[in-house]
Amino acid sequence: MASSAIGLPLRREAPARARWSQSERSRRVFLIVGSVIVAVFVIAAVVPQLFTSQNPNALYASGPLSPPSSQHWLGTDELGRDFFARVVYGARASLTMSVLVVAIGAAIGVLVGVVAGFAGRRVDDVLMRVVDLFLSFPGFVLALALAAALGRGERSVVIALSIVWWPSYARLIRGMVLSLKHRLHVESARALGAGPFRIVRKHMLPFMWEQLNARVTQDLGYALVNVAGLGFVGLGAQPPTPEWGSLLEAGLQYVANGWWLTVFPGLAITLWTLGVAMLGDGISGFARSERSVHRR
Amino acid sequence: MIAYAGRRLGWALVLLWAVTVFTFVLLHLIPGNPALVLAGMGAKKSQVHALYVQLGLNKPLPVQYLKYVEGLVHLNLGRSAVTGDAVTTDLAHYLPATIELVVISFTIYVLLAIPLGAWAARRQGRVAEAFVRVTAIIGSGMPVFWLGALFQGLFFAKLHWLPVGGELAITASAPPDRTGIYLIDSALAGQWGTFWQTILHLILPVATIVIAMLAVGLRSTRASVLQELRRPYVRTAESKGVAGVRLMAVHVMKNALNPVVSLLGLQFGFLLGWICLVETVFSWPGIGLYLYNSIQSFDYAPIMAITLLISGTFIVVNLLTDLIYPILDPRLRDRQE
Amino acid sequence: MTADVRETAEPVLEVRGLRTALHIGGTQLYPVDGVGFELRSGETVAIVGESGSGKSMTALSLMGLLPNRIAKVVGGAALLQGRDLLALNPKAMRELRGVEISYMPQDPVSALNPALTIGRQVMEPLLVHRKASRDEAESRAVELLGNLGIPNLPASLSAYPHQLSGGMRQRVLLAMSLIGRPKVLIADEPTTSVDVTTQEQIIDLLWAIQRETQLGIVLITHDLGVVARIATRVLVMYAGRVVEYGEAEEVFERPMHPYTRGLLQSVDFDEVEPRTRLFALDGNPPQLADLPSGCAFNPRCAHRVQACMEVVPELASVPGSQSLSACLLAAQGLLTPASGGPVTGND
Repeated sequence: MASSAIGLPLRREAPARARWSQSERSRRVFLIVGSVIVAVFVIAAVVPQLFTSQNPNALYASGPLSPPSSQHWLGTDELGRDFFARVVYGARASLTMSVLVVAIGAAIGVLVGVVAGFAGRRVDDVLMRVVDLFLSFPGFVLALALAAALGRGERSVVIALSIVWWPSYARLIRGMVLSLKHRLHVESARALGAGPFRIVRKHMLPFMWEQLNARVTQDLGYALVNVAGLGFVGLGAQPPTPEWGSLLEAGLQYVANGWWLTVFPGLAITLWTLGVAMLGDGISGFARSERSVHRR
Repeated sequence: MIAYAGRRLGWALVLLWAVTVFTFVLLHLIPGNPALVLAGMGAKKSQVHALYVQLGLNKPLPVQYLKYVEGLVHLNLGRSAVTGDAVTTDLAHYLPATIELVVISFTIYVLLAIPLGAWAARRQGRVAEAFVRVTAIIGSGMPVFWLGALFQGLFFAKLHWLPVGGELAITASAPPDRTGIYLIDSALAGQWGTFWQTILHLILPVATIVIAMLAVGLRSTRASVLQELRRPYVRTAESKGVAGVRLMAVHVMKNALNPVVSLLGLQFGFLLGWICLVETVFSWPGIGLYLYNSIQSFDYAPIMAITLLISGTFIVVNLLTDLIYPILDPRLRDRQE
Repeated sequence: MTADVRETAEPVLEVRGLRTALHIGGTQLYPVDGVGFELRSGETVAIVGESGSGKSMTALSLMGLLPNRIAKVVGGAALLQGRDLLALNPKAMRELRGVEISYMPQDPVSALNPALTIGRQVMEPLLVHRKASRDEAESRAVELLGNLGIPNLPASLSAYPHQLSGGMRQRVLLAMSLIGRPKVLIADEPTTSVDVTTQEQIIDLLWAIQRETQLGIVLITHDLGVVARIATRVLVMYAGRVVEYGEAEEVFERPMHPYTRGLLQSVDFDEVEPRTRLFALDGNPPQLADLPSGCAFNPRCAHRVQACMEVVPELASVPGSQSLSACLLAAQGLLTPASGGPVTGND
């Protein structure tokens, strides 16, 4: 940093050191807040009973469309079901689908990316052309058509979104493989006869983590938004299974007398996306500060 | 330059071809045969049979594909099970409202995003950074349909300022049909009351879309302008005495626009993806709502048709933005790609 | 600082005690600390020094082009025909740029806007300051570019920078800075990015223009060949301060500061090859944030005595020479000629 005094690039935006300590602090805050949010949501998805004793499908005496109260924290929906339970149980469908989409998309994408990165020019070109093809369309539209064609249900949504998802991973991985391929330790590993997957796992992965982490955490949020979007139009988890997108859509009719029905599912989606993004930010900051100590 | 345009056009055609393959495959995935699907559920047996023959469903797949494309070229998109009409008829009915919404939203967005981005870049202080960061957070987290629902809740349910949805109140009558776009038609007919009503109904959907797009686009626009401000030739211009608006408009923006334009292309894609969601929230009678209804009622022909339409539009728009780049950056005109 | 009495005309640019502060990481640094010189019409003052000595910052300070969030002029005066540039408000300063005082930036590749034609960029000073109509500006641009050797006029006016070679671009920059007929031109490393032949041409052009228009040139460079050819006076900078100032020939042949001596080694003024560089010394210039106490050069100085590590020397006249030097020993006449070479490493 001291070297910035001489020959400094003349349009620096803000003093470098000041920003560093500020971002360190915010990194830590992000990490904590993000982990808490993500943890809460994941637990809600896996063990919803921990959060609520109510049954998301049972009808309650309070009647339909009763506002949030001490009895029903988020009120009841149009049929009289406890809405808090609906939202909590909704995490299961929504998050499971999102995680699956990212996992499958990443898996396929990594496979294709590694192949493209290691194979000859021809194969690489062809694969990347295919990737370009996919990436040239608005993904949501394609996924919608695909999911509709595959029939209702969570399986269709996961398949449809995964198919739309993998190309960007393929491109990312391929890029990283290509840039790392020529490093010395990789070349020597190849010379020793190591296969591409072994090389990726042992020699390249350590360098890829930061970017991958940033991408995956961001994607977990985007995936949920897309899953919820498909749920909103009626694809994905079918009633009575709660899912945040479909919950929100059902609540639209009651905007005037049941505001909680649209506010809370959307809030859940937003919180998850933010939490996951913060977690990713916190982790990458952590990793970066670890490395920069050694860099000079 | 010609070669560049030719290449882009070629790729656009490839993409169009790919979409038709996509919808073709989908038609075969749907349970039942494509003839049944495209004829719609309420169709008579004879209609289905005619379609069966027309699509060549007893012939090998490649032939079927060719016949399918042939049908597309003749704008035979099937029949809606719900309305009973040809999908093309339905589309013609619903399309104007979507065009109205999309054009207005996108125009407003572009008119706002670029100056806002430039402004936010010039003001490098805390306020601008905070503002941009907050909007970015909104953009990343909030789904567009939630934003719409919230607006509805606030401005309609709570404050009663704006209508809940639809292009016009249920009781109102539409202006005489010239373009199908109410805003234009009512103006042409001099029905200013209707005109005003349409505007009121447009406010919420447009605001939803514009804000959602700004949330994502503002940060990139600002980053792009900031990057340009750092360029050495900006200092050169200043050393000649150029400053203020002239500096920004003439020297900076031309170069800053290229990444912004490519982002615009991308965002248009988001917009196209969102119309279904936004139109559903606001019961806006456009193809998005048509799509939603079709999904609800397992009406596949419109679904496929709309997918083709939206994808096709996206391809065309991207082609146009690709052709704009050389205009903005003279270096691209001469370069051998 | 006393002026040499050879010329009696009023200086067109007189800089006194220029001090610029840089705000980095919570500390204040002074990349320009007490710089001063005089420039008369038809003269060239060359500012030389290694990277980071403060040469470019001096230029930017004079032009008012410092990045205003982190750098600011905090002292001194810069009188352009009597008007203090440093005291002007931004609007007034802007009115002078390009027409009274011009700046020719480094690196022709990035200094030109790739989206605008060169004609547009060259005409701009005239148009912005409303000194000419569009047609007049255009014919003036054609004339100037023609004199500078740009072929195919007026068609070339519609060319874009990327279509020109480096040498051509440098000429375009030159045209751009001269078209407003300024009294002073600050040329920042005009020969660094071009090949030898072009360099010769650029220098010849500068020389010719100076002869014709009595332009005052502040030449920032680290190329001794250039300095030797057109500099009237030389100002040597080190760590933000002026360490030697005097007539060009005098500084070359009888350098009065250990740093200058080290830079020039045994360079013969009349036979300096183009592209002869400085950096003949071992060691590195200090970080501004980490200046040694006393004279900034003392860690690398072979003549160092105790006082050098305690006192920051002021620029003072040297007995037996017309130059000024910021060296305690030189001021007392104790700097022996042809002394031992510079120290290497730490001591």
